[in-house]
Amino acid sequence: MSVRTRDRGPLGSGERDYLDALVRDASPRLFAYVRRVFGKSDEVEDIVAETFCRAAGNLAALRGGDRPVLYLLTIARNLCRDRFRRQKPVDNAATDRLAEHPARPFASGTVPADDEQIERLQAAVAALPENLREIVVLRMSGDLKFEEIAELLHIPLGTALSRMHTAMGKLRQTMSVAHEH
Amino acid sequence: MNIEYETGCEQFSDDRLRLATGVDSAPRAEFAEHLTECADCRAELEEQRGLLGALEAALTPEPVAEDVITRIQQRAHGEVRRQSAWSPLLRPSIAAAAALAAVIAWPQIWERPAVTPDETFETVPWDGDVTYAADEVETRIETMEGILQRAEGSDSYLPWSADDDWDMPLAEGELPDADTARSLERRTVRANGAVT
Repeated sequence: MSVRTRDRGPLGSGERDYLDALVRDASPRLFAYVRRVFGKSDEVEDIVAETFCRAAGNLAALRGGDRPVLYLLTIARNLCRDRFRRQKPVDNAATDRLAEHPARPFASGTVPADDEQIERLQAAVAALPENLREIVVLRMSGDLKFEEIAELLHIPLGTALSRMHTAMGKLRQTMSVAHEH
Repeated sequence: MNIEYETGCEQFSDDRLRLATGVDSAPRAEFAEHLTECADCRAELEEQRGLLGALEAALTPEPVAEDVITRIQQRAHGEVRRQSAWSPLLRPSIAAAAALAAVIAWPQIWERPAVTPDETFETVPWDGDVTYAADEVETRIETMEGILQRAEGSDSYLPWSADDDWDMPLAEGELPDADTARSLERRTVRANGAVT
């Protein structure tokens, strides 16, 4: 991701519309990423807003790039890591939620049948180690390709895929173990 | 050295994942051929796709409330206005301040030695009783003097016994006394194996 010239002039109507549309379009993915990876629900809005503030200071780069969401997720990730560096970014409630309901394994090629199973899967994702959880969330909530995930995390594509494979193995294990109980 | 080669379905685990996740839009020829023959691999591929579909459904971002969107938009607009207002004023101001600081600081930097003695050695202040320290030193000196004086008159303070049999070398032309001569004679006989 290259750094382009900064544009700090006042917003024209076109830029304002672009920024507003970007906030509306990208906010759900940013909220999902910050909340699911770092689990600090009380600070999510502040981090997302700060992400757009940083991006607004470099709007030309944002408009010139073809992947604004990747750019925004990179800013959000850096903000989260700065802010939560000394905190344990683990959703402690995830394990509790995981134990609340016995789960049924999902059928191959189908989506989860009910809200309970979806909640169960969300809890299983939240209980993953951070480096695995981040890959899953960036793929599913951030809607990034694996090549983009590798670029964002500064890891090889093979490593990103390997982590996804490990995460899927752990999720399947969690769901099947829960089913047995 | 043991080298384990992946065989059977294991060698296609990466292919399965790449296909299931959409990294590859189509299987490689070798994997495609394997898939037609291997029911286990097809089942595994379907299960991975099922899990990914389930994850997609479970992790789809939820819509953000309209008032939250508005707050974020307003904050971003405010940030741009703030930067726009300060930017034209700050740029020349920062440049002027930097130039002024360089002019003021340069002579001091130029004339300053790389490291001053005070910076090299840390001085530790002594807040104890100086008289006591001097007394302590004096006492220890007196103790040593007493030991040396006693040693001159007696060998009791020496770390060895005066009765030890020391084979001190004789000076050139010096003859051993009678006792030393007898001792040397006994040692010589023992060394040669003779019975004394």
